[in-house]
Amino acid sequence: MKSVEIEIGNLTDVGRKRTHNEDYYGFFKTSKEVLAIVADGMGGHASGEIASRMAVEMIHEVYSKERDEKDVLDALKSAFQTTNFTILQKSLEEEALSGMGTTATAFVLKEDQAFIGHMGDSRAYLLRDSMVTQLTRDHSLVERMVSQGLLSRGEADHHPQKNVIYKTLGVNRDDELDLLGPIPVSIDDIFLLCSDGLTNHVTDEEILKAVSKESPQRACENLIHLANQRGGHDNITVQILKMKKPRPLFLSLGDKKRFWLIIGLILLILLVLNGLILIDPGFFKKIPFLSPNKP
Amino acid sequence: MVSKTKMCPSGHVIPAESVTCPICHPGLIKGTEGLNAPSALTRIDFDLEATRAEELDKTLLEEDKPFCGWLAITDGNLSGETFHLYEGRNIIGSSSPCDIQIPDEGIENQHLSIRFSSGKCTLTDHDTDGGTYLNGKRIYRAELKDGDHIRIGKANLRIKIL
Repeated sequence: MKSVEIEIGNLTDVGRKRTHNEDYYGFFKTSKEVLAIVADGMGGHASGEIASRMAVEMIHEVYSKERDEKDVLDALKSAFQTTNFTILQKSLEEEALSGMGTTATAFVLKEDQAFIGHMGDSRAYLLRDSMVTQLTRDHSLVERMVSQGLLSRGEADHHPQKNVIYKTLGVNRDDELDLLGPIPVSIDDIFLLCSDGLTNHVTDEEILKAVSKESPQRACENLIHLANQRGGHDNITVQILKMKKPRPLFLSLGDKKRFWLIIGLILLILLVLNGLILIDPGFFKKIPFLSPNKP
Repeated sequence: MVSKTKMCPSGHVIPAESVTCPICHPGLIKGTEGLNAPSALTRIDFDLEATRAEELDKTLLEEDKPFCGWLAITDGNLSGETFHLYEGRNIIGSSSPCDIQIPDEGIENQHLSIRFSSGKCTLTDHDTDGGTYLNGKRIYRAELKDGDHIRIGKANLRIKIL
């Protein structure tokens, strides 16, 4: 199985209108897999912040545990279910946290395959060959009306109930997540995860333009800047994962490791030469261009 | 609606499919006390081994075929539904063994198939009376492009290829 290298950028911003940032993101890397999550919390007081943070941390924790015995999609499913339950229980137990919930969009890269678990209206996009494909479907009332032909895309963008979502983590015990994958990944594919604070202000074309011109981290900064320029009505979170050709093993080592590898190799060569001289003191004389007395 | 839950040995309500209890599970979340089970729920024995065996079976049966695109239903009974399409053959029809089941007027048991192989997507009509229409034209076999319109019986479908 081929593997790809990943270049990552991520950033979150409170926006221009809110006082708290209820978005939360996480990026986790193991030797075999990458897990990236974006969550957009909601609820009174500070509960939205708690819900989104719980979602990112628990999905990661449960996913990692379940992954020992399950495949990626089943582990994602368990992670979302357990997290959904735990947030729900917490909101039932503590009055201050009552009614909190959060969206969550999780991306997994395993070798050259991508997987997505999703609930709510945060989004995952695939940017491939200058095409932008929204991989997730918003669990919003407005989106459902569009897919049923009850509302046009243009009407949906300005609908008063645009923010009403019917699936979140921590609200309904029976809500099921959407699962997607395995998506075969190619070099130069870019996956973008974001909260609706970005997509409410920025178009697909603008995302494509920002991401194809700059490094992932720079693109995150530019996209958030753009959303803020247009009003920044909500918290904004972006994670960009760019698939790259794996570098040769030697180059993929860290600077420190590479330094010691080179030192080690030099010492080894010296040791071998030393050994050869000990065995045969006239060794160098046998090599014409190393011999001091040319015949 | 039947809620898909069960109880762990300590009485926590957990999703039916979970093999571990989020509350008892050590180190998962700090400071969370278990929520007492509502009395209306019947107690179901928490059979960890059986759950695991069941899930293993499922994993063995289902291959992880690469995901290739979506088939969206734009009108008819299932308007608004979206189905996943995978590498290989995807059979579409009104009967249950189909990969994508669309029980709508004029759709035969196994109406058509969409096959993804070596980067191409091909549609084949299964010799149906009602026929399969691609972008308004009746076809028996054709290569599909992203965004193509398919009509079978009274249902209109649109394909999105990744």
